[in-house]
Amino acid sequence: MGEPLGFNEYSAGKAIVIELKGRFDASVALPVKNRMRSLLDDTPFIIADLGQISFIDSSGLGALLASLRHASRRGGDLRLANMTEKIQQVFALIRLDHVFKIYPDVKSAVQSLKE
Amino acid sequence: MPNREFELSVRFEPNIKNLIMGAKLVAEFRTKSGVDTRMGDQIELAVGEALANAIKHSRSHGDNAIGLIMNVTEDMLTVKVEDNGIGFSPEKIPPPDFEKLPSNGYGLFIIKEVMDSVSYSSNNSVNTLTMKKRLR
Repeated sequence: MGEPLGFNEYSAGKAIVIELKGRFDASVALPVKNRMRSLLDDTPFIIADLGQISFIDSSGLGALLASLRHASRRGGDLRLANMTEKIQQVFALIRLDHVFKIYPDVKSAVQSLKE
Repeated sequence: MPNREFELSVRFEPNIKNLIMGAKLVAEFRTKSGVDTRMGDQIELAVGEALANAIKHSRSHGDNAIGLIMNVTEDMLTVKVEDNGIGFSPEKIPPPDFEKLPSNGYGLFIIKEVMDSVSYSSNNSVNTLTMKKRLR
């Protein structure tokens, strides 16, 4: 079933990595979106580590989409890493797997920003 | 050995923090029914979307206006989500605009994608979204 969402942040290269853990649903989408907006005031690049997300719904996806747009307007990007198959399937349902840059792990997402 | 006939239900206040109560019921359903992981994930997603929608549009506060009933008969799951909101016409909800990619408006689309059938009714101020899925 999974626990309520929590998150942890750290710097890696040009980006801030935000590790999300737990259920990313409508009850937490707004605070996550607001936190990402706040992070984007400090850096144009965010990498969201979704490896410990146990569930995501359309509100969670919406928060990521809104953050991606916010990053793009600032000349940056929101890149995703470490998705489980379960989370990948939800992205594919609404065709977001072609909208985000998605990496198998955080290391390769960080590396992509050096290129 | 999975149970072939059972019913689970829960009622709660229309507070978005109560989505977790629906998630707990889905977890119990997964254990009892023995559905495979992928199907369980799809049902969890559809129930979550339906509950979030019901809670957002409920008109009441502080009572048990949101209902979730999961009924398994033979190989068919029937999920009912009840609320007392203003209601809507599912056929009037347009599909998402995949060109513009808005940051909301995907819930009903997702439900239709992962469930076998979806219907909606309103009686005596109670709206019921009914979703069915063949389990095997």
